[in-house]
Amino acid sequence: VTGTQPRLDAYATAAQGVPLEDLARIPANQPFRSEGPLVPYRALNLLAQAGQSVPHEDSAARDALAEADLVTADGEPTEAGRAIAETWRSSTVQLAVNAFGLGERTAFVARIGGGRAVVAAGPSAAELLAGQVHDPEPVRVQLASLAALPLLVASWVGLAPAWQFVVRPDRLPAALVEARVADPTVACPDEADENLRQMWAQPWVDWRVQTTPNGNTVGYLSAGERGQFVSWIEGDKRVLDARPPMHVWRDLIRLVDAAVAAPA
Amino acid sequence: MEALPADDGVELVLARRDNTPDQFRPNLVVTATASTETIQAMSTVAMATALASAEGTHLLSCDVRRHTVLGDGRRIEFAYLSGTDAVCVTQWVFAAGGYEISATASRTVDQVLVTDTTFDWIVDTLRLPSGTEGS
Repeated sequence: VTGTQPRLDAYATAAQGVPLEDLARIPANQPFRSEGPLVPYRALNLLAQAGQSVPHEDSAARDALAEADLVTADGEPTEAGRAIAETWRSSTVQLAVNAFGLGERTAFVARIGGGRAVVAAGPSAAELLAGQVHDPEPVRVQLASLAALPLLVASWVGLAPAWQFVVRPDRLPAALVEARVADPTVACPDEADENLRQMWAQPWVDWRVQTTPNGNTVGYLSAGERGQFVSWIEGDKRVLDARPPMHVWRDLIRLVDAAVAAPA
Repeated sequence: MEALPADDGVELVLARRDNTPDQFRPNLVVTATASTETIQAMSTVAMATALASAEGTHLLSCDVRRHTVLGDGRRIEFAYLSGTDAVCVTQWVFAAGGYEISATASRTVDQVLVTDTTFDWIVDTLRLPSGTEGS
């Protein structure tokens, strides 16, 4: 748009001494989308364990699967249901992302086998912050290519452009960080620098990627428009190490690659 | 990499030489367009254009990219699904010498880590269009 100046990020501009455009409105324009139907997690397990048909005994699960077109009215898996069940059952590798915030949790699970994955996605990190997590939570189920997995995870956790700053101190009492993840009204420590205060004021999601059987685990703390922090425990402290989104993206690519490449 | 014929308005098209026919061909397209916009405006438009370019496009990052000749620009990254592939796009944008200089690299997700260094090096070598003051 010729001649129109974009809105600037006032804090980032002042902190870095150069004009930096506002990136805060991007996440709202790219919500996590799954093509898959909503199914209770229990029903998904039932489908995976079923042979020729899903047993009559669990009519609620069976009805949910039928509504999702994964089984027929007689309980027989449809073509889509069979593909999901076979991949889920035969999977040798799992990638799980657990996300915590506002006292709630949600998860993204990919069961990988036969060169593809079944993704069972609970409410995304953005939905978690919007209070859209209920129990028991149905999951969105879809078949995905292995190539799609890093992007699905990035979208689900809400990875997005952000100007990033090192915070001081970058080692905080682990119990304090845990309390702040659950409750945004927990006060920022007195010794915090302005970057940490800015980051503290953002919506937080604590998220962790775990892959099995290779046993890789990486934890991040997502702090809204102040970006992502790799986060781990050292003694009774939690480390918050600013990690630019372009590196988090490459972390996700590497995690999926390593999980798939590892011998089962 | 090898240079391919470029359309009008495109300065350079590079694509990987040793590709097999079934592989996505990593490529870089460089354009230079007369512009007096600020880098902040160019970046904002580039990201809005990316979001509108393909359904499900996800913006991943935007960082300041320092360049010895073109000054401080941006490095913007986004990805989208195309069939069973995920196409990853990195776009470098600079406001220099009365031009918007843009380099756009496209590759699939499995090609990102192995092509990062090459594309970044090529971007380092970019210069203002010949005849431009300071080129």
